[in-house]
Amino acid sequence: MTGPLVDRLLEECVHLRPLDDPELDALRRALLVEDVLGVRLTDEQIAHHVLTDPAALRRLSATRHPRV
Amino acid sequence: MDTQVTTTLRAFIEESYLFGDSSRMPADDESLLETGIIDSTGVLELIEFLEEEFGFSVEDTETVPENLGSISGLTRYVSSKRAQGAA
Amino acid sequence: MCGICGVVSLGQPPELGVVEDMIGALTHRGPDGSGYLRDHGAILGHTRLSLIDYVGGAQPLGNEDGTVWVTFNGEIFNYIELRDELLARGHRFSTRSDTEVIVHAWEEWGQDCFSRFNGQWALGIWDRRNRQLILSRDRLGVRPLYYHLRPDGIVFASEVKALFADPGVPRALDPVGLGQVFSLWSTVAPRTPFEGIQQLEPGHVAVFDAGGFRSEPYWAIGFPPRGGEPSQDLRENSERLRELLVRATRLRFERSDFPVGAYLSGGLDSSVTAAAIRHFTDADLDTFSLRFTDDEFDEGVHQRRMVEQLGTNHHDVEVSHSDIAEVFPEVVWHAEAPLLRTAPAPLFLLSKLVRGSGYKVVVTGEGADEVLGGYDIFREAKVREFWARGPDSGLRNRATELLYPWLSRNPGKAPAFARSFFGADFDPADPGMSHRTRWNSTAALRTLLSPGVQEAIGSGRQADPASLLPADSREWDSLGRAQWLEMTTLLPGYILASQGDRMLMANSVEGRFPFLDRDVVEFANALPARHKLFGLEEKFLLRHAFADLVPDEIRNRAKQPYRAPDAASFFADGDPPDWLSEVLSPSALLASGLFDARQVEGLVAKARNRSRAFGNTDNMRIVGVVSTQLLHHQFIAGTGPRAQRRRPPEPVHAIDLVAQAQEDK
Repeated sequence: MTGPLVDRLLEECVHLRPLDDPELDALRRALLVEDVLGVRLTDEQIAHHVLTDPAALRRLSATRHPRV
Repeated sequence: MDTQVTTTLRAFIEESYLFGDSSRMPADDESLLETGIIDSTGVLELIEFLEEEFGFSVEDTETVPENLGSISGLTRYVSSKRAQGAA
Repeated sequence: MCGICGVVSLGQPPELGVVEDMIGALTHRGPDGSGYLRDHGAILGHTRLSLIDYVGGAQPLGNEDGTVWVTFNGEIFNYIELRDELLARGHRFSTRSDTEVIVHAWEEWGQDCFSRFNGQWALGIWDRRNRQLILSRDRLGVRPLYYHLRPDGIVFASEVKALFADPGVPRALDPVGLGQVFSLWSTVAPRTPFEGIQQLEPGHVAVFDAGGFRSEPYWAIGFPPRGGEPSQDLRENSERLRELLVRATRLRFERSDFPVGAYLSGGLDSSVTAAAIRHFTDADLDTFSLRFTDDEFDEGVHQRRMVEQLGTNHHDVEVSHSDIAEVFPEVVWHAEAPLLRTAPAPLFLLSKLVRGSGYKVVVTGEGADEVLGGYDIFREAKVREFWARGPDSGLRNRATELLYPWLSRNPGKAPAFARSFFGADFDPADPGMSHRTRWNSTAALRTLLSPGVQEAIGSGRQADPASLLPADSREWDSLGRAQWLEMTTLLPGYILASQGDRMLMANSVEGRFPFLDRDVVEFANALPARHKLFGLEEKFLLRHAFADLVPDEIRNRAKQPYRAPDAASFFADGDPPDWLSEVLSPSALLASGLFDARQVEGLVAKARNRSRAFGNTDNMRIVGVVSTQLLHHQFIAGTGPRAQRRRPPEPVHAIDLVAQAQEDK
């Protein structure tokens, strides 16, 4: 169920506007991932390599917290 | 508590945010945000006032509710900044 | 575009002279001619801005046997398709106008006819068969419709100034209405700023007859449950959106007997509509833009870029502080509401330019932000939710920088405080959480009101717009709830009214809004939320769908909300204009009794010193006080040249069934 959504989300991320600041880029991806997948990230997970990794995102979705 | 600083602050709040309506002056410990006295751009006005009136620089890290959020907080903050400056 | 008015009376016959005065008051909405229908117990009036079937489309207009009549302000863009259907069902048409479709559609479908209309309208139908007045308004409130109910009758009109042409209509401001404006930015229909005057809610049809007045919706704004949106594929949705928007734009551009221009703001939405016209029709295009002498507000560079790209005939008008100050009283006269921003004033000057260039109609980008997720208020809500998910995460503070890369007086400069400010009103269980901060911070304006007014507001029932959200809204994405609130408050109450219809009609220009097309709206509402707001990337699908037609420079621009200099317009360049000093004088304040004179004095003193540096709330304070005082002066005290009586514009198309009946005897 969430697998296809993770894939769609990552595909759609290609269209994000360019952003120079890597910290801000990670932050906006974190917001996006939390919002679309309904998950909650730790500070450690707010990192580019986690937020662009399909396997990591699928694992996160599997242990979804109730939405804020 | 530095009463002179507090008086100056209250005068600024009355003129700039209350437009002369002193009846709405918040108590010293009341949150300026929660009482609707200050909004986000009001904070910038406040910072500008502090820097001009008291002659110090407000650092980004110092723009926290403890320092800027109430009259008593502001008084403590201003007093400590001036003490730093005098040292 | 036009003006409508009318009276229905169950007792004393309505007076034609009064209706003629009402018609005269609507001349600006229809300078090309006027008309009335007089029946026993009812008179309909109309002023005409002629756009489709100049010869045949005079109003009020009737059906084959004169039993159903309509006075109509607006356009039904799918009128050709509806006409074909009605012809097939046996109706006989005698004109080519879209107006005539309405009477036959009413005959055929009754109240169900309105859901078949794709357009923008305010109309009154007089059905002689059962002696009913039917009032209807388009889905989102593009066209205005006000009324005043009496024990034995009703009087209605496109604008309040026409209602006030009837000496029997009471003139007073409504404190509860003012309280709404000084929180929600406008009243929420059916309420208006005037006591005893109501407005028909968007998407509603009302009936008045011997049984009284009743109103019900024929359409509602709705969204699918989160995760249950029918189409998840970006490319498919992008193609479909493009198809629908191009169709909507073409309908609005082509269905007119007179040439249609386009507004070009330099932003994404109007760039899309202008590009759609250029690429999908054969026409030359005249575009119209606003420039500002004040650099902070000017978008000329981006407008130029689009003009070059599209090769349009371009016109622009440069607006200075004093231009805004000079026209502001006339702007309030047309807006008929307190304003919290001067932004309508440059739009008044823009429509004047359009008229002066020989155009009567323009296509504009209004509605895209509401319908496709463009506003900062939607992004702020997502940031609040983000913070609430990590309350102890200092890493998340910088999200304010994602929100406001462009604003020079930037709350992000005080990041920790900004977070505590923006996060302050956030209650995750509050369905109105997206708008609570705006409503609460605007409500700071209420402290300027006099004690008497504040008391009247306090004791009146304060409607929380969020309490009107439908029950199934709990299942929507939070973006849907935010959109619903915006589409039921700011859009009809301010954007389409004070900035839209009123500023265009002030110069007899009709606005047409492809983004508010019925099919575009229904498609957009069914989209996955992320295709509207992708994280914090606003109007994601729109930008994707028109990537080939709108240059990256415009597509990738950070959202710059349309704004004009506010307090600075009145105070930054020396003394404020004379009219402002008069309207804020102690005697004027005493006469209206609306504001605390001492605070107004303090506010003005602050403005004289620092209007250029004014923050959001102080700007709203100044504009709010000034515009409300003007409103009182112009409508309640009723003085000034604008309040004078005018004759109905010639030629007058008069249908007098009462006189005919007497002749037939």
